[in-house]
Formats: sequence, C-alpha cells, structure tokens
Amino acid sequence: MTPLSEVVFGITPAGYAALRNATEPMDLRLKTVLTLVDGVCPVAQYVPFLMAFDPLAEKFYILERMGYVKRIGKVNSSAVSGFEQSVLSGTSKSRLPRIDAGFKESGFLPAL
Amino acid sequence: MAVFVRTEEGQEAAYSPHSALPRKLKSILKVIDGRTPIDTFEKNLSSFGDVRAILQSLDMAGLIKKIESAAPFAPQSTAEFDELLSKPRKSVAPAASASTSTFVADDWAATRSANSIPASVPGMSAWQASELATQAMTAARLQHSPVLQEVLDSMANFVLTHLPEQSFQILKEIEEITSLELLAVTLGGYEQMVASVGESSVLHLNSIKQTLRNNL
Repeated sequence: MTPLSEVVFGITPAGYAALRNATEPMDLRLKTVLTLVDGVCPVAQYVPFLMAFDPLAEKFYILERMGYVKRIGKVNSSAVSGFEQSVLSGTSKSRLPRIDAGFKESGFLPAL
Repeated sequence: MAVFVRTEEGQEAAYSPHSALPRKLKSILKVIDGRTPIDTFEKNLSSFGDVRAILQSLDMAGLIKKIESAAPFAPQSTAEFDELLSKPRKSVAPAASASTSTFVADDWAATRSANSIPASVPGMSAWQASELATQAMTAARLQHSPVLQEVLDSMANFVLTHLPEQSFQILKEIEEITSLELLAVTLGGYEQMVASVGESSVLHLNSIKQTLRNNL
C-alpha cells in the first residue's frame, strides 16, 4: 500500500474538461487544488504550502473519486523523507512549517 | 491598500532551482510584486479558484507577507492624466512571421512592454518614472470597459487551460492591457503564441477579433 504522501497525481481528461467548463459545479477549494496538480510533485510536497486547504488529503481523495485526478506514479519513501529534511533544515529565519505537523493536524495520509 | 510582498524565504523559494515549492505555486509566488492589490489577484487569477486561500497559504508558510501600500494613484487633474497617457511610446516591435515556430511568451512580453509603459517625464528619476507608469496603468485599469474585461478574462482562461507552462508570465502581461486599442496592437503576438493549440485557438481568436471589430 502506498501512503498518500508518496503518490503523484495527474489531472485526467475529465479534470481538464471540468476546469475548462466554467459552469461545472465544483467546490472552489477543490477546483483550486485540482488546478495546482502538476503530475510531478507527490502529495507530501503540497502539504506545507497549502495549509489553508486543510485537510488536503480529503480533497485529493474527493478529486480522485470524481475522476478528475488519477495516480500516475509515486516517489519512494526516502524521497519524502529527504523532502521533510529539506523543509526542516531551512534557515534559522525560515518559518516553513514542519511537514509532519501538517499531517497530524489534518489527520491525513492513511495507508492505502 | 493591502498588498503582498515576498519574504527572504519567498524570494529564495521562487527562484531557487532546489526549492521544494510545487511549480504552479512557484509561479504564483513569482507574480507577487509588492504593489498589486489582493483584489486584483483575485479577479485576474480567478481561474485558479480560491486565490485568496492560496495567498493565505503562502503567507502561513512564511513565503509572503501582507503590508500596507501607499494610497492608489489619483491624478491631480484630467489634463495631467491625459498628458501622461499621451507621452510618446516606444515603437512597436515587429511581429515575427507566422511561420516562425520559435515564438515564445518573452517575445510577446517584450512587445507588450514596449507599448504599455508611458515614457518618463524629463527631470524625473527612474524610480519616479517607474512609479508613475505603474500608477497610470492601475488608474487606466480601473477604467476597463466590461467588454475589455470580458475579453481579458477569456484570454486568461484560455491560457490557463491550454498553455499552463507559460500561463503566469502571460497572465501578468494580460493584466497590463488597459484598453481595446492596446489589445489590438498586441494581438498579433498573442495569436502566434496560442496558434500551437490548434482548432480551439482559432475559435478563441475569432471571438476576440469579432469583439474588437464591434467595439473599435
């Protein structure tokens, strides 16, 4: 089972169609998250930078259920750990939040 | 007027190749210029959804911070404003031929820049000239006709949908289009840029051209 933090999502044709169709009824924050999906970054990489969208995992799950995003890959756990380290080892002035703090607050990243 | 500026960390996150910031968020961070009101971002980047929440997130991550900017530009008189806008402008850069396949957003940006920034007044410092130009564009933007706004929204949506890689740079340029005349001048560059998209770009461009024909 791949933890959601390691999953890389991509936008599906249905997702692109939903973004193009301005009349498509979609929650504004879901739409925002969908727009930001780039097919490169794992979910873990979004968490510290989208704290106002908490719980973020739920939004990815909903978008996946709607067929707007799909899993196109995953990074290995060491990559996520490396990312966490890079966030944690910011300069002394850095106010970047701890990535694991985001996980705890959102109650997210259950094993899939 | 509340505006956002990039913090030291934000500056590094925006331009460092090793930044962990996802690339679309990085692009949003790059358009933070310390002078564009939050409302303007909300309006012009509405295709992104909840822009205010994105900005809030970047703020929470310490990459940007909110500051109070100086009062918005208010010309002393109509004559002063007219004089400012009637200053000679740089010549229009020649448009690349339609067969050129190497056209990139930068080319369009250069043409746009040459046509949108009023020339400086003699005796004015570079900083003052820059401020005046920015303020003039802001004031002119406030006078957008609904027709122009509709066309600009349509262009922004098209670019975001079909050319996401170049969207932020282009959106910033679109934001600076303040009149239908200016749009008509720069449409050639825009046309070449979106031509690669195919049939939908033809429909999109026809719609813009029809609007210009009806309103110029």
